[in-house]
Amino acid sequence: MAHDLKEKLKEALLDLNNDATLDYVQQFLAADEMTAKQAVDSIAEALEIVGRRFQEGDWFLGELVYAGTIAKEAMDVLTPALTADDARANCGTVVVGTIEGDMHDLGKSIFINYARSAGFDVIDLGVDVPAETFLEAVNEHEPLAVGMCCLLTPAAGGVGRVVELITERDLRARTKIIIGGAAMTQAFADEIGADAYAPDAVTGTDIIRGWVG
Amino acid sequence: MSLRIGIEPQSRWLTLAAGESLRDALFRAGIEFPCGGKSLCGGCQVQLLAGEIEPDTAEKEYFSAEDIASGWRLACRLKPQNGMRLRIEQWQHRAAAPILSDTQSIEPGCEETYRIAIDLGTTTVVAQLLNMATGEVLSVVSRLNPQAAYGADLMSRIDYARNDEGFAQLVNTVRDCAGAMISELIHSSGIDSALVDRAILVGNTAMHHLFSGIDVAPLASVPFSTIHGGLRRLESAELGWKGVDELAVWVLPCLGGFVGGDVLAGLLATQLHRERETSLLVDLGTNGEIVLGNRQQLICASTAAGPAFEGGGILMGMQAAAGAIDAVELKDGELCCHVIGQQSARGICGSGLVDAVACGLELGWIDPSGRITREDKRIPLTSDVYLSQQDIRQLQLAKAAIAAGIELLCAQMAVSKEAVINVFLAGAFGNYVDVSSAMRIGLLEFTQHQIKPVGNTALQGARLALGLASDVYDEQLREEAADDTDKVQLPELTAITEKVVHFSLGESQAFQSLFIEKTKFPESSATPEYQPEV
Repeated sequence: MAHDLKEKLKEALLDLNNDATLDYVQQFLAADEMTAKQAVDSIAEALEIVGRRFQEGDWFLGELVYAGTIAKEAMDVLTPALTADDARANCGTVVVGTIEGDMHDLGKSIFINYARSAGFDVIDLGVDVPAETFLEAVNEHEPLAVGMCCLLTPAAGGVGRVVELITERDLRARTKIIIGGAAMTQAFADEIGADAYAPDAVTGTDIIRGWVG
Repeated sequence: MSLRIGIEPQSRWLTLAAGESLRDALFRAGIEFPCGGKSLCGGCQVQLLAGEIEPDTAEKEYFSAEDIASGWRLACRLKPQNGMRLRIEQWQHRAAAPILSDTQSIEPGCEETYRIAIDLGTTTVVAQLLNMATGEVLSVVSRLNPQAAYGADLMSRIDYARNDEGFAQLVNTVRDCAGAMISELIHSSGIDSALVDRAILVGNTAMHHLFSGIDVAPLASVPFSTIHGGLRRLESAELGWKGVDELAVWVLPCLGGFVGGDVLAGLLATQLHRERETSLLVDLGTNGEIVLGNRQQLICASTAAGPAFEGGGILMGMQAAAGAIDAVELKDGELCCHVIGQQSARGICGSGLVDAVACGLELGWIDPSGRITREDKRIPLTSDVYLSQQDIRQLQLAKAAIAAGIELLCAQMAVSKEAVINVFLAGAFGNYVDVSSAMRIGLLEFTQHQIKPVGNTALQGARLALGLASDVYDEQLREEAADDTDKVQLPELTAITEKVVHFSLGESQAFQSLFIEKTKFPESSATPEYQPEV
């Protein structure tokens, strides 16, 4: 039964069937022998497959966003039911925002959905975020990583500024820096001294997962 | 000793300064190196007509043995040789692109004057000399926008202009280019330059600002709006133009955001703003511009489609030049490709890409999500050219940006797509793309009878504005407005610019979800067959 329900939940999410996914989530919560944590694991497994399909080109933005949205809804239901131990076992905190001068929100939102579903506590600073705000958030939340999104070449300078600020405050050992968005490249990451560049939300989540130590 | 190189189809000699590279000399002559001369894109193809040069590895990789044998090389790789002759591929195509510079006359006026209309495009600049008494176009010249040396797309040029030196370079480059083109027009037609009293220049917001010498920094970041997008009037003297005295140069005002005077000109050309019924004007390019409206109401937006429509970011993508597949159709279930020029296919341009994907959908090789269903994960077009999964994805992003923009403007105005009388397609790509393929991939969600390719409406509108500008401007107004030329107005244009509302798609949450939705392809093109109930 347990195995069955886990598979069914996974399949429902991979079929992008919102209603069925939430239905199985409720069944998890109702069943005595099941825990919310098992459902969360199941969703994480499904999202890994979603990510692989996206990276291999079989799936595109539509499927990626939709799977992320369903997963988020499921997580909203499951989170209150997690035991204190399970909840505390989150992988770490990630601070995310779109740099000042840029309003692009879509890629960041997809990333946030994936990172949250992968067990990260994500703090979203929003769009058009000044470098100083990133620094304040890094000071306040002491995150594992800070992620910056930038799709406009002229705004890219701000991303470098955040790297400078965090480096100046000697916070690099504690907090890694990851960048993404159409105006970002690996070469740019190297140039400004960011820890990583992610070409998409799925890769970004993978990279941060690799930093959990 | 300096070298001399012959260039075709212009049939002229280009003299290289001592030590000057071929690339620099060709660039000076107006040849584009889209990837910056890194041998990545093949955009700078030339055919060696005289002279012998061994191909290097990059060229052997890019061209077929057949092409190499017939002299095809990449200009960015070539070492100059005295007396060599090159046929410039880019110009072959441009010469065959009448769409950019159609020469329809305007209403004859009574004044014995000559005026000049200039379409200042990001890529191409076209200028025409008109006899205002007869309304005839006497002469046309076109050049590549020399600012391309500082960045192929608008955003990289705006970025380049962030420091004073870069800004001055961009301003001077574009002014010098326009000035040289005007001189060329006047001299080639043999008229007295004193009889030329006015030029009207149209371009997008960045071109408007750079030509007028206005800071483009506000266009570099959110909210991408400028308060200096008004009608400008400059004197040839202050532009540093020689040989053209007392020429007043008008730069048409912008409509908002990135939507510039070229789109305003498009309105003049299509008369969208005068009709009772609602029509749509769409300029399909890297930056797609959309205006929806009628004589009561006008709403505009720009949407970032990316370079896919121009063959950019596509594995085997190229400009619409010789060797490019520019059209694909299905004949008895088989793909038939049309290739520009008398040669084998080397790549695919934007119009070919849209066709190929439309055919792939019909064959079931691509499903509505955009996934290639074939085992080999490719859409084979010819023995050498195919589309990859990633290419389909690039087109999905480009078409979604346009389709979502159109849908959102329709929603804003509460107009159904069925109620739109005309869908005017402006610009080069809009005129080369096959309308039924554009419909099949969901780029244009309209019916065939609504869609009307209308050519280079920016230039058409600039010509019409030549007539408008007369008599309205007076010196007193100019003096009053000395500090702020935004106050200078042309009533006919002001009536439009005051009515147009610019809608910022980037700030709209609805746009994001629509954009995702529109990345999908329509299920089927076929209208449901009529099946009588039994």
